[in-house]
Amino acid sequence: MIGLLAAAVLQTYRTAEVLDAGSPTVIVQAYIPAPLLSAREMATSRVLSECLLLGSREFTKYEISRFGSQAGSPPKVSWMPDFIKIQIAAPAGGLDVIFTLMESLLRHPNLDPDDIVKVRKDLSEVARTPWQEALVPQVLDYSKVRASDVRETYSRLFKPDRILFAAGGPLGSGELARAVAKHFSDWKPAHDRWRVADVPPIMMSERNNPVSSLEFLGPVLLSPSETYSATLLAMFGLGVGKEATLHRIMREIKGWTYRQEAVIWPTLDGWRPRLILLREGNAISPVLARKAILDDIDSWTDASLVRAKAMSQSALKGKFELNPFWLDDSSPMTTSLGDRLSWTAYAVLVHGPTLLPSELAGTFDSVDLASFKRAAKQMIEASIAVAINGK
Amino acid sequence: MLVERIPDAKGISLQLFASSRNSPETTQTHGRRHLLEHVLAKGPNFDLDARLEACGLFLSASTTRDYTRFEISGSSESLVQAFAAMREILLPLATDPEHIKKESDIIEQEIALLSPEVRFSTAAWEIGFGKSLLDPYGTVSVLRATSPDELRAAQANELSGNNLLLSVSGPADVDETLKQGLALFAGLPKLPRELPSERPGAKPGIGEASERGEARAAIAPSVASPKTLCELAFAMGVASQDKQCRVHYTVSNFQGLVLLTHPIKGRLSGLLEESRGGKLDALFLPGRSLVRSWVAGYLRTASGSAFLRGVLALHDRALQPEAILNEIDGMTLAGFREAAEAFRIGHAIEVVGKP
Repeated sequence: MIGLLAAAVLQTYRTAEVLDAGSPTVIVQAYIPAPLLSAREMATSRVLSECLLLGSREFTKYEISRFGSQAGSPPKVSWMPDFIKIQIAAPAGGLDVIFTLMESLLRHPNLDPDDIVKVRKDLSEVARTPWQEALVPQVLDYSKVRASDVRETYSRLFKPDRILFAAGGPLGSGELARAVAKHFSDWKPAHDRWRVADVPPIMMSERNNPVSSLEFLGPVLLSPSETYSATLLAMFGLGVGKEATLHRIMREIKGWTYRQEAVIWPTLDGWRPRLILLREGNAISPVLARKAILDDIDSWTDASLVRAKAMSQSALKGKFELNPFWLDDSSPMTTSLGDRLSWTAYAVLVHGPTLLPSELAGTFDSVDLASFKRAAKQMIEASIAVAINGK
Repeated sequence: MLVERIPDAKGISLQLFASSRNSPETTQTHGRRHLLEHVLAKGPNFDLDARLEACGLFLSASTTRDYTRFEISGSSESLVQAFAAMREILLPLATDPEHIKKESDIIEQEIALLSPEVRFSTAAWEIGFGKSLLDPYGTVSVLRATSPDELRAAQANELSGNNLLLSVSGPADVDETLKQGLALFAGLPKLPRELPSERPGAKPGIGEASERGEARAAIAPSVASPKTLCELAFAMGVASQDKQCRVHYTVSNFQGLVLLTHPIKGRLSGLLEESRGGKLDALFLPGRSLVRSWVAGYLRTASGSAFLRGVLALHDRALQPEAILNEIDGMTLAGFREAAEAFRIGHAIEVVGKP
């Protein structure tokens, strides 16, 4: 019966799996897409995501923490401007425990008005670091978020046909499908509601901190395209390692910055290349910075290409911990089971190429110097400069 | 020297630790070890990074109160280049006043970008240990006034043969790695004098920080001590109740601090108050599981394993992560309850931030 149900339920839910027979833990992630949110909706979805672990109809926040931490990492909700990710881990064999918790969090969150007030206050009061502000520069006003807004946003975003379930670890054949069927086959979607027209969020331009940041935000990488591999490789040339353009020119030669990194950022539209620079004092002139980067690209040689390829191989094959790919707002990608699962799930989420990181590195082999330089220049020339001035 | 073969590791990690036990800093030399780390990491010809990155290796460096660490990680096929680079780091220092000024400017930027957790930690250490154990970052004016000869003297002191430990983890052959490692140390001078191994003890107290929020630190013996592990379990259990709450701890064989921070003033005190009575016992299993996972997490990668094995053996050759995992498995509820007491006002170090 469950088998038939599983086949039927997979027509509703999207799933992704990473099988790892030797892993001592099993991990489940649920992705809730939240595209094109207005400023107010974005603030509301953020409050909603922070409330999810604070209690559900079946479990208190202490029980969620206790049952969800048995594998040594607590349940985690990651909020991104266009999706929400929930991750729960358990010791191997604990898939049903995770799905019991996941069912409760997704279907019956308390969204208690007192919790909402507390979360709203926290989000308004907590000062983010300059790096966190540069990564997510949207300015959100939480003070106007009401409990009814949170419930409405929950009803609109948390629907069976929107959610992607991903599971990784020592899983049996069809185990994920059966778990989804058992816990979610009878979940009926809420009725659609009217959305209130509102403006998109504004971006931060000043911060109450002496640190300034400047970002070059490139166009989304649509795959498969001619420049997909060349642009990703160019990001290694521009901002991964100490011989990359950003570190060598901006920090060592110009003395303009301390932290400068290439970030390949996950959005619902695809990977977004970003170059982020931080310094104490006034923001660097975007015009001067762009010119310095473009001048350096002109000077790239075969040695630059060899270096970028070597660094990309080590990063994407997990030989060191340096990596420009981010899978949520917490840190760059690692080789952990959770991150391998996120990588696979993200490809399904955005209908992108389902290459493993090591396979992606293989596509860089055929990039020649001319296309490497051209992709880097095009990315910089087409990018938007986003400056946040320190006080 | 420690060599660990991890056959299925994806990459190799070489980590050179230079103990600080022979280089105590004063307000007149504050940050000299940090400056030395910056200058040495460039290599004698300023081209070390270019050569390493061309073969998929990456050099990083850090300075703590206990040690300076240089790590080269990446492709195991480039092991020979990694050892050659480590050798260059140990060569007599080539620097000049201009280079020192430039690195001092970079460190000034580094200090400006320190996270709130690190700033709370610095404040807590100052309250607990006074000026006897300065932060590892330095005072920029002191750094700028440092001469090349003073930096060379610091190098001779800190990077002497009996002050160093090399920890290597990855898929490489143990015998070959040992051979290369021993060659690395050959010819390095050894310091003749007896090395101090104790640091002054910390005292509970209260002080202020310019960050927003608050912090509370329990005084912890070495990382291998059951008391420290219980304090870490308690801190991680408390932090798991609030997304904004953080645990900050520097792995050390010496006395240190297990620090909890929260960016909203009053919230941490509330969490600590909440975690009493029945709720305290409910935190025991998650806390123990979290601290075990934290230690085991280091051993999952070549870089993490080389780090943890190296930092433990630097000041206690017999100490291994497996012994710490055994201690965690034997952790008791009674020990956990005692650890909670170590965070109480009067026993702990309290840092009051801005509202």
